[in-house]
Amino acid sequence: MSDNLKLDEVRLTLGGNEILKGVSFALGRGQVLALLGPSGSGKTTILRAVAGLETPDSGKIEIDGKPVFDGSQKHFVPAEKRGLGLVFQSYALWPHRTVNDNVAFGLRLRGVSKADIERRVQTALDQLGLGKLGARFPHQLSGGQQQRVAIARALVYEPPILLLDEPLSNLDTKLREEARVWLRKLISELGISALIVTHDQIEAMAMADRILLLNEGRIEQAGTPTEMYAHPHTIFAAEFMGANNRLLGTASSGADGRAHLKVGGVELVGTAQAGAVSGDAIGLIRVERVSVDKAGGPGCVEMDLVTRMYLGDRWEYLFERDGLSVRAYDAEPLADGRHHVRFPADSLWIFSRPASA
Amino acid sequence: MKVERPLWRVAVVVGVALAVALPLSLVIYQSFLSAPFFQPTAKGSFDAYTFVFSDKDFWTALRNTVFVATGMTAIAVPLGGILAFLMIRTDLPGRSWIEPLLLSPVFVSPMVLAFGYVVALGPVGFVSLAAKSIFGDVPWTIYSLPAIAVVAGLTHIPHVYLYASSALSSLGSDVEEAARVAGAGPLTVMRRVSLPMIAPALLFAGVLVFFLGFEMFALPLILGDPEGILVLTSYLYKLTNRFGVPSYQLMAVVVVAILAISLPLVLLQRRLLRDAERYVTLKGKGARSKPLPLGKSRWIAFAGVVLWLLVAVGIPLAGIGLRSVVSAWGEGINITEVLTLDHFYEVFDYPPLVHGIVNTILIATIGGAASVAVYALIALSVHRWPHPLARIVDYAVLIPRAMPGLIAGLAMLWVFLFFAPLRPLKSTLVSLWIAYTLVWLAYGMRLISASLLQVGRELEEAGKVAGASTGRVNREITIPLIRFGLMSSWVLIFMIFVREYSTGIYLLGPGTEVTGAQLISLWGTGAADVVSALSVINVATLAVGLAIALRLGVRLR
Repeated sequence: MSDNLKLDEVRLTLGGNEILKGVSFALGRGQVLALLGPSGSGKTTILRAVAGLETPDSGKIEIDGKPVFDGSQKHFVPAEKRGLGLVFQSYALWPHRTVNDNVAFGLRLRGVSKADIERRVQTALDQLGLGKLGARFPHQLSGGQQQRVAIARALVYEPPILLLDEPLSNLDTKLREEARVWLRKLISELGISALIVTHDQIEAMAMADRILLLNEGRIEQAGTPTEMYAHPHTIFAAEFMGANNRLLGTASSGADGRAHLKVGGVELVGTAQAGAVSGDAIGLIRVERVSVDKAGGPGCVEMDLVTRMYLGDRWEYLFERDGLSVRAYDAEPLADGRHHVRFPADSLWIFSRPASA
Repeated sequence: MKVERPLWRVAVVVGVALAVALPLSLVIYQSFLSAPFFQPTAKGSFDAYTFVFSDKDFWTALRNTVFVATGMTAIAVPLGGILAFLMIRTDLPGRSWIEPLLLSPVFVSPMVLAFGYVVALGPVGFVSLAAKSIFGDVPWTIYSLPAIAVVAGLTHIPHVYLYASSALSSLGSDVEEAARVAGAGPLTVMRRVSLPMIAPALLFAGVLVFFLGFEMFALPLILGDPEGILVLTSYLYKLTNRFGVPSYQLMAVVVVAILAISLPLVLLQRRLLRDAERYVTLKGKGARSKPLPLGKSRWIAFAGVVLWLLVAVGIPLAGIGLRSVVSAWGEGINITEVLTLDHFYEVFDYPPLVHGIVNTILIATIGGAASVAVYALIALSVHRWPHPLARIVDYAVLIPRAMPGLIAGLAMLWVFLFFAPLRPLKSTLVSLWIAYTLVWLAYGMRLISASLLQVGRELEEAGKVAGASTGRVNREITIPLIRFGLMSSWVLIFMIFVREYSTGIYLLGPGTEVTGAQLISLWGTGAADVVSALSVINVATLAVGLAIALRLGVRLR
C-alpha cells in the first residue's frame, strides 16, 4: 500500500451544478501532485473534498488505505478527524491569535504537552525562517511571512498529506518565483506527500512530480510535467500548457502519421494527433518551437516580419503570409522584410477541429 | 449524501420553534373559547369573534390605525429620503454632529416622547402657553388623529434614514455626477436620480414604517386617549378593563386580528429587504467623491434639519425635563417660584418605583447579556448548517417580530398561567426576561448574524482541518472573532431593554416592576409630576448606555 491518497470515481454536485464528474487518481507516498486547470474546472473542489470540507455525492476517497468517504456505505469522516494539513489560498490565519498560537492550535487539539508544543512550534517556525516572529499577530506580518505561517500551521502536527490551495497566488510576481523554489525544496526535504491546486501551468510544472489536468470536472490528462508539455493528448491539454500558435485550417492525412495543414495559401507539414486527420483542423505549435532559419529548407516558409517586441532575454516576432500568422522567438534582432520561418513537423500538432472551435 | 444533523443544533431549533409557537397557539386557542381558558366554563365558540367584529369601536380603531400608519408613512418616507440625501451626498453644514442626534428618536422611548409632547405642546404645555401669550390662543391641538400621525411621522424619520442612507452610501456617485455634468442642480439630482435609484430601500422603509404604525402603542394611547381616539393596540389595552372581569377571549381575537395584518407585512418586509440588498450590490461602485455643493441653500436645508430635530426630540425632552423640576404648571405661574426637586425625592421614597428602576437596570445589563448569549447560541446553531431545519429558525423569528410588545407580553402572561410548572416564575424577573428576549429575537439575531457574516468561512475551516470539532471551532475561533460584535449587541440590547415599556404592561406586578410599564400605568392616574421625573431617570439611563456605546465605537445602525 504505497498510495497516500486514492480517489475513485468521485462525483460532487454543488447548488445543482455537477462540479466533479467522476474523478479518480492516486497520490504516491512522498509525491507532489498538482491539480491544474482553468477556474471552474473543479480543482479546488477536489482539494476540499479530500480535506472533508465538501461531501461528494458518490465515489470513494481513501487516505493511507482507510476510507474517509464511501458513497456506497454512507461513510463520511469529518474534516477534523482526517488529520490533514491544509494551506488556504487566503492563508486563513486567525487574526486574534499570535503566530505561536496559530501554529500551536493543532498540537493543543492533539493533547501534546505544553513543553512539547513550545518546542515543536519553535522547530516549525525555525524551519520556515520565522524563528523570531512567534509573538507577532498575523496583521503585523508581510504577505510572504503570512504564507509561511500558514504552511507551518499545516505542517506542525505532521499530517500524512499537505494540501495547498493556490499557495502562491497571493504573492507578487517576484516573491512568487522565490517562494516556488523554496516551497519545492521544503517539500522534498520533508519527504511528505503534497497535493497542490494551481491554475498556473509553470507553477505546476516547477513544483509537481505529476500533474493532473482538469477540464470541467473531469481529468483531461495526467502525467509528469515533461509528458504533459511534450505529449499532450488533446487540444485542451496542448493549449493549456505553454505559449502556443493556433492555426486554423484544413488537413489532409499523409504518410507515417504526418498530416498536411493548409492555412490560407500556405501548406504546412505536421504530426497528426489522435490518428489520421482530415477536414477542418487546428494546428498547434509552441511559440519557442518556431524558428527563423537563415538558409531555409524543408519545413520552412518564407514570411513577412510584421511586428517585433524586445523582451530582454530575447525578441518576439510576428510573421505573416497569405492568411497565416505566427509568433516566434529569436535571440537575435532581425531586419525587416522576408525571413525563412521553420515549422518542425514533429512540433506542429494537428488536431481535428471540434464543432465548437 | 445527507447533511449532518448534530443533536445540539436540532435541540436549539426545536427550542426556538417551541418558544415561538407556544404563545402563538395559546392566543389562537383562547380566541376560540367563550371565556378565559382558566375558567372551567370555557368552551369552544365563535362568540368572541362575533362580539369583536360587531363592535363599532373595533372598526373605528382599525380605521384610525390605518389612517395613522398611512399618514406617518407619507411623512417619514419622503423626509427620511431627503435627510439621507442631505447627509450622505451634500455639503450640509454640521453633518458630523447631526449624525448621532439623528438616531436619538430611535433610542428614546416613544412613551417618553409622547409625555414630552403633552407637557410641552398640550393645552397647558410650556410651548403652548408661550404661544398663547403671543397669539392670544394656542394655534394647534395635539389630541387629534392628524396630530398623532404627524408626531409619529416625524419621530419615525430616522428609521427611513437608516435604510436610505446605507443604500445611498453603497451606491456609486458617478450616476449623480453624470446628471450634474448634464446640467442638473442638486434638487433635480435628488429628485430625478438619487432617490429613484434607492427606490427599493425606500419602499422597504415605507412598509417598515407602516408596520410600525400598527405596532405603535404609547403615542396613540397618550395623545389619543384624552379625546377617546383609539387605535388597535390601545383598543386592546382598554379592553382589559372594559368589563371589570378579564375578557381574555376578546383580547385574543384582537391579537389575532392584529397578527393577521402584521404578519403579512413582516413577510413582505423580508422579501423587500432581500430585493433592496440585491439592487444595491448590483449597482455598487463605492467610489468616494466630493460632496455635492448646495450653495447658499445649504443653510435653508440646515435650518430644516435643526427644526425637525427640535420638534422631534428637543421640545419633548426639554418639556419632560422642565416638568420634572417644577411643582406645578399652568397659566400665570412664575417658573423661578416653582422650581423643586421634590418629584425625584418622591420617586425614591416610593419603593415600587425604586424597584422598577433597579429591575430595569438589572434586566438591561444582566438580562441583556443573557439575551445576547441566547441569540448567539441560536445564531451559532444555524451558522453554516445547510440543513432544511435551519430555515425554521429563519421563519420562526418573524412571528415574534410581528407581535407588538404589548401582545407578546400578554401571550407570555397566558403561557405562565396556562402551564402550571411555569407559574412560580410569573412574579419574578425571569418571566419578564423571557418575554423581552422573545420580543427582540429577530432584532438580536440580526445583530449577531451581521457579525457572523464578517467571519471568513476559511478561518473556521482552517480550525476544522487542524482537528477541532464544531464546538471547539465556535469556542476558540468564531466567538473570539465576533467578540466586538457581541459587545456592541449587548450595548444595543441594553438600550432597547431600558426603553421597552409595552412588553411589561401585562406582566407588571410585585417583583416584575420595570420603569417603562410603570410609566404607562402611572400616566393613567394622572401623576404628571412623578411620570416626568421617572422619564428623566429613564432617559438618563439611556444616555449612559449611549455614551458607553459611542465610547466603544459601537455602530448604532
